Amino acid sequence: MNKKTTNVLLCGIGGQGVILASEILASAAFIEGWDVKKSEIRGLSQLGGGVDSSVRWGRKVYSPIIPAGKIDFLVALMADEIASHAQKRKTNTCIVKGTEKEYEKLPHIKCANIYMLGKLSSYIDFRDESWQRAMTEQLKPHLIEMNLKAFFMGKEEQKQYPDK
Amino acid sequence: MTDNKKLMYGNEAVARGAYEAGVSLVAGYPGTPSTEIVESATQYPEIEVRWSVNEKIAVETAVGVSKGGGRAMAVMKHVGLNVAADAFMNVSYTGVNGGLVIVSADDPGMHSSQNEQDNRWYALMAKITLLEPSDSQETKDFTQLAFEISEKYDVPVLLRLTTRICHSKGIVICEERNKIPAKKYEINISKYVNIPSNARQNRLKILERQQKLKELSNTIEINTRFPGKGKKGIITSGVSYQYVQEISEEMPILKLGMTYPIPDKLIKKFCQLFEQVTVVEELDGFLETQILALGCHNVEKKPESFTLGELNPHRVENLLKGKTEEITDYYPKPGKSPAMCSGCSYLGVFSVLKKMNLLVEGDIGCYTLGALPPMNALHSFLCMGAGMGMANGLSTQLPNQTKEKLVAVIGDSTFVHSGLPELVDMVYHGFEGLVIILDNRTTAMTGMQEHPGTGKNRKGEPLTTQLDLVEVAKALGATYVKKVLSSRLGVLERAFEKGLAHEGVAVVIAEEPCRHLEKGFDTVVSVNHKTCILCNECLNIGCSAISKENNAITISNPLCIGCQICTSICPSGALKLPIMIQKSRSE
Repeated sequence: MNKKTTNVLLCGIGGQGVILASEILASAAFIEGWDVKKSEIRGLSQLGGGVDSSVRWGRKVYSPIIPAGKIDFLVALMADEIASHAQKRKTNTCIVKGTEKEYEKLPHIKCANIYMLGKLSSYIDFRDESWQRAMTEQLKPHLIEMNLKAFFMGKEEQKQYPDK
Repeated sequence: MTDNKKLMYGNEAVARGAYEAGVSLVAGYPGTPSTEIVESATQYPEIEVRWSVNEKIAVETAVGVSKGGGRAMAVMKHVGLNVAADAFMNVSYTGVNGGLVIVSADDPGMHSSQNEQDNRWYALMAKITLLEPSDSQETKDFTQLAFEISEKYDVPVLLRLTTRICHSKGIVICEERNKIPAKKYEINISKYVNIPSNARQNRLKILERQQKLKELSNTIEINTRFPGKGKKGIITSGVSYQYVQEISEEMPILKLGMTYPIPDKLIKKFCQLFEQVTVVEELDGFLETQILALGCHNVEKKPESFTLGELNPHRVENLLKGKTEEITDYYPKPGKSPAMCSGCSYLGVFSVLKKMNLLVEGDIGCYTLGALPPMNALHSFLCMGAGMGMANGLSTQLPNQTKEKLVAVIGDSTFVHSGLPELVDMVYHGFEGLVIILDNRTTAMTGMQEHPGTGKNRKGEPLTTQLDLVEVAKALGATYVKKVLSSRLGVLERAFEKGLAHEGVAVVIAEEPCRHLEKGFDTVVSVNHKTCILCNECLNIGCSAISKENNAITISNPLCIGCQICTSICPSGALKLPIMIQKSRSE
């Protein structure tokens, strides 16, 4: 088992499901048996406002906030939001981003958040069962099938075009 | 992984802790970052859960339950404790019967608050025991512990959380609910009636209690020493502990979970071991001041910048290395600024207030955002209910022409929270201006909580009684009372004009449900670019669905809900609502 803590920052705008995606990611890490912390600021974020959520997992995680310069993966549901997190990035932060064009292929635009998790999953050694269980726990029953589809579409897309 | 382990937000962990502690009642008033504690408590049918009308009532209700023998918890955000302070200070004197815990969720960095007051001082002022958890597991454990301390020492306990504790998730081990038999209710006049002769006796009891609690603080497990290397020691509490450990697991730490009364002996002993000791705590030097007063002269006073905003690992590292800070460290640059939701009925109200060039004393709710550009139509706000009080005072200082432009705006939930006595006072003192109640049928900003004006209980079930704002305003002495729809801008304007011209207190209730409560707006406004005169009137509404791109007005399809505020303002008729689009609003 890897000793190091993995840090993921998910960002986007209100209404895109950033928080839900972070719930699923944290839950999957938890199912994998890691210590997990997750943090975000809620309250004044309205529809259309910037939202971000930090998820950290490892043998022992202390701070719920990702320390400066320690983001391993920046998952951006909106490309515009990447710039505002420049400070926390490190030189080799892996940026996982989606484009409107990719989202058009999805079963529903609302699955973009889960599609992005799928893309992220191609870099993370969680078992598919853990992701599936996390999604089953966090999503409404009638939305699971559609989102699973989007998740695996993302995973395949990233495997095929890792530099995108 | 076992089944009793769960990933929980700090707020969920408080509710879980209360449940496991066998609590009878959880009462609170919504306020970020505390709201989800009460919401989460509703999953446990054994607990009586209440959205009280305000924080003071929540504490008083909890005191009543405690007196009756049950365990009770009152929940609020930091500024909520200001509202409840009267009850809070006095219950320290009477003490408790069943365990009594007051939860204060502070907001360092003011993520969604008007100040960043450090509520730990309240514990010191009231001589009430203070616990500060540092993660979700501790939040649950400390909640249970708080009830035990409360009963054993006859003292209310303040559980102080911060935004980062409330809104962070961590792993929590859940246990069964403790079956605590309710204590017996007994009339005890000398304990519960604080007339001066009894209060003096109670004050003496507090002295004794403080001695015992100090002993407890010196021996309790949650005040622990972590050995480490080096000549520098660290004393820390709350989430700051996690930041210290994040930087290095090898520094010697005295971690305090019980932070009032402070463990004097433990601290002195710890300080003697090191050349230098740094206190790492968020906001004020609450521990620092008390530790310095113990005579620990190797404790360094932190630079003032570290008393501002939220800490994080980077800032704590700076503090420990003696580095100075840039302003961006303590108040990071905000992203996109908050705005009213597209199609919010308040947008129309504020466009009328702006058009009429009124002087607006505001209050707390989504409508506070009416102060932002392009509206700029809310000119002050202080605390819950203050818009009415301030208008009441301000009117005495204004020349007649300006006085005629003076209005107070207040939301429905805020009006119920603290606007009722304000209205009585206005009537009593002959206030001549207008009060506008912005009634969106919910406590919107904190996420749609019910209140007596909605006519529903906290589960959303209809009640047989509903606070009728029109009747209430009349009964309290307003002589012009009118209810209008917020989206009918012309009608709204006429009602405001009449209200302002009226002699005596006038109340206009601008009503329309919050857009988040409604479904069925499935249309989108379209722009006819041939007739659009680019007057920018629609942009001045401040609706996030409307923008100007390449010198043309654009309506965002996903954001527009077809509320028609802009179509009723557009002077050229270029904005219309022709298309019946079934927008895919799944879920």
